[in-house]
Amino acid sequence: MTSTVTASTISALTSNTYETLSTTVGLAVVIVLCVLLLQRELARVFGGERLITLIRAFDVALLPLLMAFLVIVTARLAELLG
Amino acid sequence: MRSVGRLLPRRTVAVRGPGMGIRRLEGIRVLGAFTAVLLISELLSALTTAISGAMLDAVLIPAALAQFTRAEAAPYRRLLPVLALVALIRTLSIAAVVPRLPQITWYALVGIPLLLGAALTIRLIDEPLEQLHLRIDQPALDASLAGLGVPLGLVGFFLLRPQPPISHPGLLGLIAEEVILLVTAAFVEELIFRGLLQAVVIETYGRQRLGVAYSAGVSAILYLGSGSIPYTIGVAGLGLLLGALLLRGASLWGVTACHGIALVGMATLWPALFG
Repeated sequence: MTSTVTASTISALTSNTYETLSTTVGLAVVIVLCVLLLQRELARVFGGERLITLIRAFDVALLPLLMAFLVIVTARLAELLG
Repeated sequence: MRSVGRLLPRRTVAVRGPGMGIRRLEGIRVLGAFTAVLLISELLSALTTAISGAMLDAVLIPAALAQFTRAEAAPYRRLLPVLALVALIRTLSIAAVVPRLPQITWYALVGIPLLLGAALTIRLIDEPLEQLHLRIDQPALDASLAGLGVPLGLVGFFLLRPQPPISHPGLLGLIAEEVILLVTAAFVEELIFRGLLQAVVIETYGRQRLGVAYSAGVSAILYLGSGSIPYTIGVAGLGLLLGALLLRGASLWGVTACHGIALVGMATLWPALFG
């Protein structure tokens, strides 16, 4: 119905187990998160005068993905404990 | 396009400088390559599973941001974080959602991180707030746009016949759910596509028609997963109209109201009457 929740995402979310989702897209998010953190730290070392801009650039995706990561971890923990 | 073109003011932003033609061509290539990958990803999502599309989009995010840090002199540089934000939509729409929770919470789980990403992008590229059309200059136009959302929602309902995400947990719950749809679905989408993407494409290439058409096209690509070609075409047409009216004096609040009221109608009013 919107670009964020479409019929194809609803179908993927309801026809796969949460384990499948967290070991595919969830894992991809964790890898992207690691790549972005690495890029950010490299920018911190080699950034020089442009440091603030470079760090802010990676934060654009880093902080939303960190929120997603926290949701994944919390949901997985709830599933394991519940 | 001709009717949309008539809605646009004639003023365009001049982009000049030595070697600008070659740089602009390079920028068009970057834009074309990104759009092609996005299209492939959404076709994969629609034809196979959204998981593959989300993973392909996940690769685009660090690639676009790394290019932003490298291409310091490129005139298209400011476009790259906005494109990364667009790629983030599909990735988050699978990764950030907890399927066990009610469907209405999915919009919030995706929309809130996207809103944060949009705010960080605005700060990064130093986009002037007036370019986001946050000020209401023509309230009558905005009110008309809000009213337009009612029949548009009805058309959308008949084209798509969606499963309503609203669970009707009493009046307060219903209001809360509709606020979620208005803020985390309608506002976030309009801020990213009409507010940011359209404005930055116009600033980068100096062509208003390109900005309106590109942002409408990209938002329509992301609707391919709806599984309905007429609905996707309708979204493209609506994107052209809203983008053009934004340049004609409508505010982001007006286009958000149009989009949001259409969504709320599709989720509550029209299923109750015709479902």
